[in-house]
Amino acid sequence: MTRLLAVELRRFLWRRSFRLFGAVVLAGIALATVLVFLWSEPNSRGSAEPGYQQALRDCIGFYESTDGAEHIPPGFESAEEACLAEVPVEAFDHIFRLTTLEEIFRGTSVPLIILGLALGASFIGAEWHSGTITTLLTWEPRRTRVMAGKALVAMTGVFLSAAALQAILGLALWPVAELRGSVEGANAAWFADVVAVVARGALIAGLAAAIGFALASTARNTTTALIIGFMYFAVVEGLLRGFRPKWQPWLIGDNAAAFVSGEPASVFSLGNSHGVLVALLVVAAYAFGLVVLATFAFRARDVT
Amino acid sequence: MNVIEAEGLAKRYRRLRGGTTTALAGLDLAVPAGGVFGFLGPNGAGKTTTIRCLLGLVKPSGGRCSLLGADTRSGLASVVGRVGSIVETPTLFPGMSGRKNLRLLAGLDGIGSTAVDAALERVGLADRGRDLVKTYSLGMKQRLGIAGALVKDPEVLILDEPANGLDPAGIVEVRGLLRSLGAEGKTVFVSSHILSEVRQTCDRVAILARGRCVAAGLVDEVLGQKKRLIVGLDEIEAGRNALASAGIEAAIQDGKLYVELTDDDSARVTRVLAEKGLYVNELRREEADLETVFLALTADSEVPS
Repeated sequence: MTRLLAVELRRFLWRRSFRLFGAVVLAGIALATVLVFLWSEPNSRGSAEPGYQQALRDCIGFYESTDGAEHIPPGFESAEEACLAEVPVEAFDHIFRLTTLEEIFRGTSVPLIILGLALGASFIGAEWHSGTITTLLTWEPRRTRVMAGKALVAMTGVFLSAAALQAILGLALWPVAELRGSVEGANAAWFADVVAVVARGALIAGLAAAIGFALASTARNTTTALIIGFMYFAVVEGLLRGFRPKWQPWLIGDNAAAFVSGEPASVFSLGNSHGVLVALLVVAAYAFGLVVLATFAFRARDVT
Repeated sequence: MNVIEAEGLAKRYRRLRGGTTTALAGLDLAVPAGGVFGFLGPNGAGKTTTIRCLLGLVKPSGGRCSLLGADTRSGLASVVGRVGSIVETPTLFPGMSGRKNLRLLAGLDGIGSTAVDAALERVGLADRGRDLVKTYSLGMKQRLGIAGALVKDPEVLILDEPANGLDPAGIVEVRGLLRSLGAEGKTVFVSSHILSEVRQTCDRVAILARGRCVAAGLVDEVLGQKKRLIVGLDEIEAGRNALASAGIEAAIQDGKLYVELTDDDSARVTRVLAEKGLYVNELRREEADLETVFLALTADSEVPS
């Protein structure tokens, strides 16, 4: 099994699509770093002040109006207090703050998860497309072993790649914050939070790869798998949210997003039914279940 | 010991629109160790399905088959390391070099890159090993597939139509390679629909038609089944009558007499003709080819239900 895993991992890393995706993301990171560097202006606080004060006045004015007064969020004594919390000064200056990395990583997790799904699907779909699965089985005929090895490599490869790309993005932006922005608040606790966000995003990307892998293995085609995957997430889950709201806590997309955000109740209205860990377990159960079904199908069907 | 065996091997494929297609209808086959064994049949006869059954790629609908004594349904993993194979056109990753493809496969058995390079050298691809497979011609892909099968230094080679796509020089090379492998004591099981190829390469042959084996044995034995004597003479009609009067069946074809012989008795033919004052200007044994044998053997084989 070790040899199979080593070979599959090597193949995963040698794949053109993997290198292409990697190169595109790295180019994106480089571009983003340059843009942030150019955009960030450490002395822009002063020029932002008039805009900030105007936004504060608008906010206070809204709450002090007859209708707005009813909407002052609980926990705030006055409109001014609520507005100081709601209108961040950071939104009006051009200073890149390292502490925003956490939010950036939440955002970048989404394309990485989609990329993970595509890479997982193409990892096995390409084998069916080129017919190399036949060649592989003439060397290793134990199909369960083949599927387990491939699924594990797809999952682990995407997890590690996603984590590495996020780390590279963080490392690229760090000097920008040091040189032309702010590292205020970037302490150990913040760092732990950032690592957790990266790990959560990468984990879901890895599970997305397993789901893509299972779909492509069953369909024996990458494109079909991706169509099924995106139809499910875009259409089926959307309909279920509308027509079967009680099922929402059990949908893959909601649990994945809840886990990545780390705040299930506030982001996807999962309420208190799940914690973050349960959200992960739900996604993992779907991924594992699909891989098991795909393995049964692979064992049962002829390779022609 | 037979290295490949099939007993009553059957395979039926379900059609999408209902019903089934029978690819194998009770195939019996025994391939002894050593030498080159030809598995001959027209397209659709079931050659590739047989090979897929042997390699565990498709599950037989009935019967059994074994490879190196191991039942291919349950024991294939224990012997697959001693078997090299290609099924139809070799399938490798087009975006990787030939060498990388082979290194990946070799890695599954813990085989190092020295064996990969040796296999590439043996099939004449040492210079192109680092080029992407997508830049290879069909013949080069075929040779790369053979290299892949040779990397393991296997006891048994199962090659499905290895001459497909090769140019004449390539065919000669592969023929030589297969014969040398057979001479080394390996068992080379090679399927083909090219009859002359089998005749020139193989020691033994099994002929497959409509999912069944219709003849098997040494190539010479199988070829010997329908031999005739070709007789050339000026007065051909008189010659036929003379032979008929002596109880020897003969037919006129392309201006020559084709004499059916039940035994090796060409002297009797010349004596009968000479006694009638008819002198032969050509006398040779018909070089019975596999086409003739094949057509004769398969003409009346029924389509299995």
